[in-house]
Amino acid sequence: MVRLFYWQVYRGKDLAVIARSQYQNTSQILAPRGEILASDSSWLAASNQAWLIYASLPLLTEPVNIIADKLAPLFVENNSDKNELLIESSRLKDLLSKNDVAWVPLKQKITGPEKNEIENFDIKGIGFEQSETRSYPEASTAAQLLGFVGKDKDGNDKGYFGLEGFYDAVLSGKPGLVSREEDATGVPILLGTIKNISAISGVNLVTSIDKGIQIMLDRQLEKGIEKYGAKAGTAIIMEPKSGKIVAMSSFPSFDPAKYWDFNNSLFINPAISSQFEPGSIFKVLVMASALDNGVIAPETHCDICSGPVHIDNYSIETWNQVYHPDSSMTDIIVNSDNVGMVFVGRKIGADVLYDYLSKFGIGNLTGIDLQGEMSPKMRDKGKWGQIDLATSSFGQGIAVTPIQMVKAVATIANGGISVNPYVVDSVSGKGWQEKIDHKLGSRVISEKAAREITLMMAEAAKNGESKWTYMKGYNVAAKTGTAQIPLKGYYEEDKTIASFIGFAPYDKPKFVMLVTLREPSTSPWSAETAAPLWYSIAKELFLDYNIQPSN
Amino acid sequence: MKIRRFNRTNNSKRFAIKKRSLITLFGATLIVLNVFFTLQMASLGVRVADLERVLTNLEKENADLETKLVDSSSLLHLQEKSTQLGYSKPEESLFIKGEAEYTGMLH
Repeated sequence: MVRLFYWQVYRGKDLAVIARSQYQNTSQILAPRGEILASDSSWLAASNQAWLIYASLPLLTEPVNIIADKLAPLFVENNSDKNELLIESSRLKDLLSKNDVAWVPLKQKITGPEKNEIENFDIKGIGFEQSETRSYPEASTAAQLLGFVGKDKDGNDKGYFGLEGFYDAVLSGKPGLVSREEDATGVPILLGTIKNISAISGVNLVTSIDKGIQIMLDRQLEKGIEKYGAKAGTAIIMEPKSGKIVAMSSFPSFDPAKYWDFNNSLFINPAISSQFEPGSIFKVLVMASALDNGVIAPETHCDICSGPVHIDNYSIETWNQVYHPDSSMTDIIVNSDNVGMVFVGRKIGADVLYDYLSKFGIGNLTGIDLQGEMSPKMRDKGKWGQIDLATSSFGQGIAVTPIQMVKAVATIANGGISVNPYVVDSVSGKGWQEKIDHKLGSRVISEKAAREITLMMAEAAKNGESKWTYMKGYNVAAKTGTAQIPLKGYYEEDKTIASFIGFAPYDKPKFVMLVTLREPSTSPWSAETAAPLWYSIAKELFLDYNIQPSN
Repeated sequence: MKIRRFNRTNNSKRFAIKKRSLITLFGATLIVLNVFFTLQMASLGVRVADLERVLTNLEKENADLETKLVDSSSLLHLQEKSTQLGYSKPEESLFIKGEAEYTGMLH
């Protein structure tokens, strides 16, 4: 009786807890990560089933060495590399020999075929836990735009950079939970308590990326960087009416499926995070602002263009030391005349120019839905000296990101109304799809001013320094830009950022595109590097968009 | 005619016995039913476990098929395959104005 009282009453609660831990089983239900799709709903990033392989150390019956030697060849990239095999085998032996733990994870993200091979070994004590792995079927295409899936500090999957980072919460979904009583063999006891919280699957992202154009852009940019001996390059293609990003590419890049093999610096998307002094491509924004403000007209003549301009201790010269006295505003753009732009800058004034540039989006984030966007700050309003106004008017002494330039020039292409660039067009799940409402832009310059600057850009493309590479009949409006790179307070003479920005056809633009090459070594000039690369990409776009030559 | 005396005690006893039997029978039935349904639930539990295994296998097959679909629909993969089959992108595109010119080119 005493013993009965002892076990039933005195130790009753403790025994109940021990019993519950034996038959109560709680397990997490995985929430599949949402997929990233191109504009035609084909995959850019997909989730595949994978497993975590673990060892229950007390249940192991085979010697640790034998288990390690069996598993090591399945865990290495290159089976024939003896050194790699030895290192992996040694790692597994260390894990399997631990004394202070009962359970050790051996390897993450094992694929189905690998799991089947391991199961065939029939090693007691080795088990599998279901997980997920991310696959990128187009390899490193649009890598910086997509981002990658890594781990957070708790070991859970987390998206970093690009779309994976920006939309991580939406893509992740929410895991579920099943808690129920089971017998010793794992069979559920239906009469017992069952708690079930369903998993919420991650949502799929349907992007505006045209896969064919993206792959073409990647190839052309990589070829162009090699051909012109550049250190790096970026290209962006956007639809000017909507703000849809059709393609975005930067090199050097990385493989998001094997991100751990690459330097962290490659994960940053230069298209949205790297700043540069734009040089002459910036002139179109300053000219457009002055035209809209009414301080100049296309036929206004520059009365300081006969030679260099001296401001304080500085001398502003043209890029080729050739001066065009009495130039019209169109001539200034066609000749990319720095002195002419100083004339325009002085006409509009620093404060008014600052306001226009802010409206164009310079100095502000574009709000594009990619993680990691940054914006260089514009010099504060009211603190522009004469030299700041002069240099900013031809795109030096002011910094922008590539996406800011594309947005600003798209405003010109869109008749003076700005657009907000975006990548994700809609979200979808099983049996449903919902379009995302993107914020509309606002009017920055009048339609008349937009038309005037467009015609100047068309003239620049046809008769400017890049005329040798111009494609006749395609109504391209564009501008070259060769900016010196600032380094510790001075400008490097032979190191430049060569850019070419334009849209076509200029009467009803289907696309606006920016190409920048950092430090091209074959020639520092945009007309000989970025411009021909732009046209080689545009040639493909004309076919894709069915843009025919006008004559 | 023999007159029988009405024995109240005997009838009560008989009623009590009948009542006790009924309760015992009822209790036994309940116990049997309880055991029966417990065994049924246990076997249902096994059935549920089997169905869960089938579901897991089907989900795995589905996932494997989706992986194959993703890989085979890769545009890079298709471009590689088309190159192997001898297809190539045209180097130049020509735009022609009208029918007459086109017919002329054919001849």
